[in-house]
Amino acid sequence: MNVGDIIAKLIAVRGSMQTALGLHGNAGDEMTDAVGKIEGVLSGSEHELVAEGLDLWRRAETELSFIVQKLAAGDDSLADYMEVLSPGAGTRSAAIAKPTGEELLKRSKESTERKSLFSMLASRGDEVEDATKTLGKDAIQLANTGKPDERPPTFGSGETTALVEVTHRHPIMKAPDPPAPDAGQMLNLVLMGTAVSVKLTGMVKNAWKNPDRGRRDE
Amino acid sequence: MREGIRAALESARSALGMLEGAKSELEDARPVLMESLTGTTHPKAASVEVDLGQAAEAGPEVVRLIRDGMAKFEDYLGTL
Repeated sequence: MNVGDIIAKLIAVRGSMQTALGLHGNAGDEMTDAVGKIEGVLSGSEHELVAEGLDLWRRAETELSFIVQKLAAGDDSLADYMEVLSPGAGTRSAAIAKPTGEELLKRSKESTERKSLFSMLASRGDEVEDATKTLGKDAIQLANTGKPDERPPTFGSGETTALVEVTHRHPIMKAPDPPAPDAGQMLNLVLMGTAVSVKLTGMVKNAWKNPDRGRRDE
Repeated sequence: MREGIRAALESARSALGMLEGAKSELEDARPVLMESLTGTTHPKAASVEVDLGQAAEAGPEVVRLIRDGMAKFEDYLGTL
């Protein structure tokens, strides 16, 4: 498991922890509300069941507060650890839980100025996947038609395109062009043609003069 | 008075529902966290494990306290 995988898993863990944190906080609010309602209607009661019930619910409030503190501390520690693994990957829980307008504005500007490692890794992963798909298509086309795709393959997007452009097609082998004949070679060809012509003419004339030449003696 | 007690019980039930959801979230998170932190000796990683473990262990006790308190108030409603 590489750092990108670990960061991705820890981001998911943080999401679950923060959801649990919010749910425990809301449960605590509900219990505070419940205790307040009981105190409102039974303020003068000295009944044993009421006293025991209130004691139990107040202890539940305390426990919920403890859990919220532990989850918040765990989330902060996890954010610190993620920062160690990859600067920028961890974000403080306090900033997530209740951001002010200024914090939101500041975070918005920061997010446009820098990419987190996770988003960068995710985009790299997409690029590799796209490249794999394109390579697969080219391989199928090459196998089916014997001809590579005319379009040169490019992978990636935006500024990284030029850096990752690759050529994977087989080189096309071409025979070299024959050299242009010079004047000497032309003269030789003419002389050879003339000689052949003279020789053939002589052979034909001899054949007319001696028609039996060349035949087997019977 | 009865309506006030019933409203309080309804709030307690709502809290139990939220705790059930929180328990599910933590049960999903813990094994992934343990897998991700395997082999690391960083103190922050150790803190996460301890904090998350204590939070998860306290959950059932909170549920028990709320339910026991609900039982007390339901019994009290029966006496009225």
